[in-house]
Amino acid sequence: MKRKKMKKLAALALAAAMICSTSACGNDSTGDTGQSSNSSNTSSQEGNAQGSQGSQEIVTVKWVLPGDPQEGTPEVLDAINAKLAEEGLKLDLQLEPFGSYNDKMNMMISSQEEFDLCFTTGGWMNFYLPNVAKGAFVDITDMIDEYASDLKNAIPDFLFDQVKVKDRIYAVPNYQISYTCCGLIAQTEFLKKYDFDLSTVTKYEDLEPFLQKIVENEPGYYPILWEIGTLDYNNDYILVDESAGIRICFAKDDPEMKVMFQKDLEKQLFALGNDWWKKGYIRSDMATMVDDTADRIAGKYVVYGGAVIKPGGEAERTSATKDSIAFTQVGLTVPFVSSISGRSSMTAISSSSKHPEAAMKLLNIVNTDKEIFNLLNYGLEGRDYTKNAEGKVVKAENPKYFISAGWSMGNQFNLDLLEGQADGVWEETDRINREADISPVSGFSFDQAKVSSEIAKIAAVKEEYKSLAFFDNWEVRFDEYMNKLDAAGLDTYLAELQRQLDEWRAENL
Amino acid sequence: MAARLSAKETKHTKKPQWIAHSIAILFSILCIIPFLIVISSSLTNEFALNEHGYQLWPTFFDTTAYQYIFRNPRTIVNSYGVTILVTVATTVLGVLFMAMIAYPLSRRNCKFRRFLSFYIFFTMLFSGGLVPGYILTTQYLHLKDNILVMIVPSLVNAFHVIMIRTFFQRLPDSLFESAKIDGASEFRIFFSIAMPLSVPVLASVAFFTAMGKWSDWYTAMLYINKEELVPLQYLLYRIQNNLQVLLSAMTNVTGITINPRDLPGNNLIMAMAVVATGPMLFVFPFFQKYFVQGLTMGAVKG
Repeated sequence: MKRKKMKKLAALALAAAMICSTSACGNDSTGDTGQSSNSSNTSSQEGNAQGSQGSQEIVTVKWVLPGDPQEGTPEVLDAINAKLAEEGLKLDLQLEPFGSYNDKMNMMISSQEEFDLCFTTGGWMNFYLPNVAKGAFVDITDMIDEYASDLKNAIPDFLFDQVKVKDRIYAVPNYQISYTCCGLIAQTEFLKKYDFDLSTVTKYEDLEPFLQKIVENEPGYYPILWEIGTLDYNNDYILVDESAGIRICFAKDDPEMKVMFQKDLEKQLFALGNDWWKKGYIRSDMATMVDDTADRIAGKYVVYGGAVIKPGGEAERTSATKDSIAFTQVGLTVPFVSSISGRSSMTAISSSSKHPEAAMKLLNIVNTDKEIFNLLNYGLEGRDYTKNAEGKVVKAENPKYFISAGWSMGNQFNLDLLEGQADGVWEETDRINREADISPVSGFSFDQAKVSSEIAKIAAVKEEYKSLAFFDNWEVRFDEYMNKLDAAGLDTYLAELQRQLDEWRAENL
Repeated sequence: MAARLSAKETKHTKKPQWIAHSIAILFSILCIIPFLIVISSSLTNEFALNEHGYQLWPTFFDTTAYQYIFRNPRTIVNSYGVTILVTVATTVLGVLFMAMIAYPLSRRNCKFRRFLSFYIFFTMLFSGGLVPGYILTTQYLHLKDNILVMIVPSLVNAFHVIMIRTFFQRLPDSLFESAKIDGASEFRIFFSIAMPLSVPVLASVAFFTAMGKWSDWYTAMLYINKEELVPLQYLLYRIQNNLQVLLSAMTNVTGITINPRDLPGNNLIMAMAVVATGPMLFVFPFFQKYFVQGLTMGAVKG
């Protein structure tokens, strides 16, 4: 009796499982009947229309972007679509808040929900490589040449090289600053007051006299914000990978490109940090401080150490403080394009798209048409922003649409300047982008899959010890840190990285 | 208990009771302090918070955070409306549905009740998973951007059904038999006898459901894009999580420029928390009586 019952149950369960699986497989073909039927209809009609040329059908391209939903989106889209109509395109924008963008994209991609374009990054959210591996993005290598030659001409070639996976392109890099240059940014007022010339600094220690004066004479200020390291690495080493949070590099003059984690250099930096902390240059609660946004806004830091230096950087810092504090900056390293800077923000075409060609055309327009790009970023002039005497964008008091994140959409250099941005910022950035040194391993990117658990462990260790400089017994802690890194599998990680790098060199160099 | 003890015994127990009370009071204070800190931090400004840290009583009194929230009250009033509608609808309908499922399962004369109970129990152990659920909801049921997506799928919770069933099973069969002899229909028996006798378990299930719905942001994150359908908790979650994601971008991603002045301050986050969780604090004592009773009954028997 009992056995019979069990058999019945098993059969039932099996049947249920089969129903589930068939419906899951079926989703490709049948899943798009409802809400998306509109767009698929239009796409097939477009196919017919291309032949006849006469009445061109409008194809809707759905773009999912990170950003807070904006009340005034419909009007902005109307304005954009009025311009796109002559190209036979229509934009449907879905803004997904930053906080949920990653989860949402994961879900949309795994469920093969239909959309055309999305924002993707190498290491921040909606990760590029795993999505390419999953087949979530369309291979656009040939489409770019066919539909988006303007776009291709506007962006330096090395960026396209960097987004390639096995020699195929799966996303268009959003053109913005591509190089890094590290240096110092300091409050101009204090530099003048203590007659200190920032440009004489070549290494961290040169700053000490100035920091000392701040400690002595300016209570209530923190002399320097500790953002260590980048400086020393850029001069003699090439950074290869930072996926575990620690910097893995090889020496610039090493033909073998032997990757390593520079323990000695790391120790020197912690020693310096500890020294400065004891001297009061660094805020005493540095080890426990979590969020210092308010201090940044209030202008409590006199010097930002290890800052990213870029054209217009001072003005940007100024507008980020509440009393419009003036800043002076100096770059200490040679502008350098890392191996995957092209992947810091990209736009990809989804493989669930019914009309990737239309999506590509739209991308081409967004990346090259200034008017549409400004509409997309700043909304409608008069309602969402006004232009001041210098022709710069001033955000309205209560804008109904104002995203102002060109880096998430396309060619940032097509944006009108915002109030507070220095003239010629984009031209200057573009120039340095093209002149900067490019990493000798440009385009190499590390596939973490085989050592993902080691990387997770190393990242946890790094997180635990990141503030070790700000303890009296830092040397003991440093040794602990190094031991734990080894225990977490640092060598395995390095070996895998080296293997992939060697393989890549054999293919590409 | 104490009343039944003799005078001598009460003397003995007095001291330990006093100790127990003070421990309980101390514990309650420890529970209340975080709330007070949240409220006080919401009533000061960001820079005072930064300077003095979190305090029980704000040194600098400032209501800008609330002004900011209520400057555009439409959003928040609207999401309150959505949350209340969803919570009330899910709770009322959910309790009704779950009781109606549980009742037959509790009756001994129900055919296949073992199998059906197992069928319900089975879903507690194995579920289709998130992605198939998402596909079902968006591509077959077309519930995306529909307020029903926050109500219908959460009407029946297997665990709660079993809890209610267990409670129903405790009711003596003779009650139902006599009702039947008096000519009552099954519906009559259910609504006039079974339901009123099970108020404790129904109230606690209602409370769980209401609590779960009130604080649910995940469903909205997955399925809601329309601003006018965003519930309160999702609004709150968005503000807080945006902050984290953007802060991480500020430190980790080159080329992405975010003005820290565009980020909400801690006082604003606290004020949002007060506005969002406050009402639930008033609902809780109302249900508490049933809550404890229902929970222990379900637990002991189940």
